[in-house]
Amino acid sequence: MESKNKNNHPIHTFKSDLDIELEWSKLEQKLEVRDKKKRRMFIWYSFGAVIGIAFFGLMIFSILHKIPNETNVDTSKIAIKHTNNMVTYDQQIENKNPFHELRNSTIIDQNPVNSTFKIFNAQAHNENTHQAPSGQTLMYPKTDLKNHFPEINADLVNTIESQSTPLFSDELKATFLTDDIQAYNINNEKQSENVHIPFHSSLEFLPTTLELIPLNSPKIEFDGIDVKNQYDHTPTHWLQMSASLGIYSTSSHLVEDMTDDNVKTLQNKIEGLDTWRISGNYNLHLGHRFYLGFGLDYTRLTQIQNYTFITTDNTEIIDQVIEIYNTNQGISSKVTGVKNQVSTYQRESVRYQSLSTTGISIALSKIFKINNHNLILGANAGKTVFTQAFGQYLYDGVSRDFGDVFAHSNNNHFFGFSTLYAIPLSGKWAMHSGYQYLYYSQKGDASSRYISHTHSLSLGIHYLIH
Amino acid sequence: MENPSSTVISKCLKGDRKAQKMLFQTYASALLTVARQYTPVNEDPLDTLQDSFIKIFDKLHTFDEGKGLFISWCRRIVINTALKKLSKQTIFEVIPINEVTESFDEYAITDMEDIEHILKLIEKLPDGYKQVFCLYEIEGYNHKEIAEMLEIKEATSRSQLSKSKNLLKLWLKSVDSYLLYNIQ
Repeated sequence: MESKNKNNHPIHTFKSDLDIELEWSKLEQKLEVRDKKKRRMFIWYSFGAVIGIAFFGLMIFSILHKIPNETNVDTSKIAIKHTNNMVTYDQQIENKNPFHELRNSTIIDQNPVNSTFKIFNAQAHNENTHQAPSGQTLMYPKTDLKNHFPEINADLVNTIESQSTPLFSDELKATFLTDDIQAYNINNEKQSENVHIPFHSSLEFLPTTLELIPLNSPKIEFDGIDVKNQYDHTPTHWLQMSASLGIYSTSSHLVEDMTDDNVKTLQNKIEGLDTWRISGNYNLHLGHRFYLGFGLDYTRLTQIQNYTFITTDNTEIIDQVIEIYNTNQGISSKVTGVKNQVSTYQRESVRYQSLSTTGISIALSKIFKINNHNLILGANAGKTVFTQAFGQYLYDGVSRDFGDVFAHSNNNHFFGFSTLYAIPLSGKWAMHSGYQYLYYSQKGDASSRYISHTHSLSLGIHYLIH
Repeated sequence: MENPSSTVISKCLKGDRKAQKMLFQTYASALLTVARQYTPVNEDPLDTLQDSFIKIFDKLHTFDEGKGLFISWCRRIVINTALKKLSKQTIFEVIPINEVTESFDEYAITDMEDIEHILKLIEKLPDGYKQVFCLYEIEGYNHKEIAEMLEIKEATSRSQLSKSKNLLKLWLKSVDSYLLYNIQ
């Protein structure tokens, strides 16, 4: 901003009469009160931070170590149950692996009668059902408000030097997500039988983000630093870009799948290899610190998915030898019949895949200033306009390629709201924490749709690189 | 006015009261002049001065000696603190005055007595008038910048400046101005 320089104006050097001692004593009292407040605030923040860390730690621990009761199936205790007996003849039934993605299979059978079992209705396992939790986890749109306002940290540690605006910030971020996923079959008349409400949780770690902060991005007001600084940055519109690169890890647990009696539990652990994201936002300042943003982003993830299925099957075996006994005449007789047997199988599969999404979003935000802190409230909505997955999976021990498995799932949309509270720390550091709710709907295939409610807590630290 | 030494600044940053008092003693008088120019009529410039010094001590670590004088940095803080106290509604208050068309520049400021006289008159300008007048005439901001700072229209800034000049000229020309100046 250009201005006439009138530093040599005679009024600039004019000194008003002032009782220095009296005014200093008043000021000193105010400073003492302020210092006391600061100490009190520090204690409260420390207390809050400790509580927060404990909460995060507990939640993370519970995710990593505690599987809900329904999934704690102790396979060693499950044996085949014997029911009806009818006299027929012996028969051996072949074992067949019904799953497409199994690398190894472990059948646990504690029946004293040594036999193998055919798994009926094996194809009843809906692959989409299995893919849903992982697919959901991967396809979450990134709508953090911070992406629209990365410069907030420049403002938090606002200095006169910062008027020259740092170009990049380095970020540490950890996010905890908890989801409830509902899935139902649109075409199935008996929808109630096809609804499952699993527990799904994930932990995401995205350590490195580079953000390009445009010079004309808005500044958050910061008392008393620089009048020009404060009022220079009220652009009506600006464009900003950000890119992130990192690794992530997430795990999910499906408590109970009621769509299929055969699959009682499912564990799904995903190990992320890498993730990268490029996004751009066109932002409009509507006045009174209301901001409207239009975003476009491309995200790509590479991951290894480790599935563990625990399936239970009811098997009817005809002509099974039930009992052998000897008569008084020394004749050996066999009693055969039909047995209903319940078997539990634990299988594991591994998928190596990359997924990419392209999404558009719109966000409306309002920034509030609370003392020197900043609170951002926002609402956002968007749509995934293109998704794609490609990679390899194992089929009968043979590695095979698959592609575009999510190409049909273009009818995904989301909306949510988020809060972000940013606190300046010393120097160039700033801390932020936030809560975000996200409703996400994903069309799995022609007949099913998955709906998730995501509650996300985040805690991050920013460091400015000038 | 020279910048304070780095020793004084570092001591102030550590909360050393003696160093803070030294800083206050050096700059308070000059900054009170600024506070008088920008503090709204119903507020006490001394309160503005104290609030400003608290901010100065808080944000001292952000002062960059290479980017200007310490007093200029402090002036901006005082101005900003005073403007925060300004109710935007009062800017649009219209004070009926007799239109005077002469240029304010005719009144050259020659000595300290003139400055004191003018400052007294500026202090008595209605809110909105005096802030616009000082930002334009003393600080050197243009109307666009003032409009952004006070969140008003550019035309309003021009109008306020014009009216403030007219009012000051009226006071300066008036015989009663001397009386007004002496009424506290």
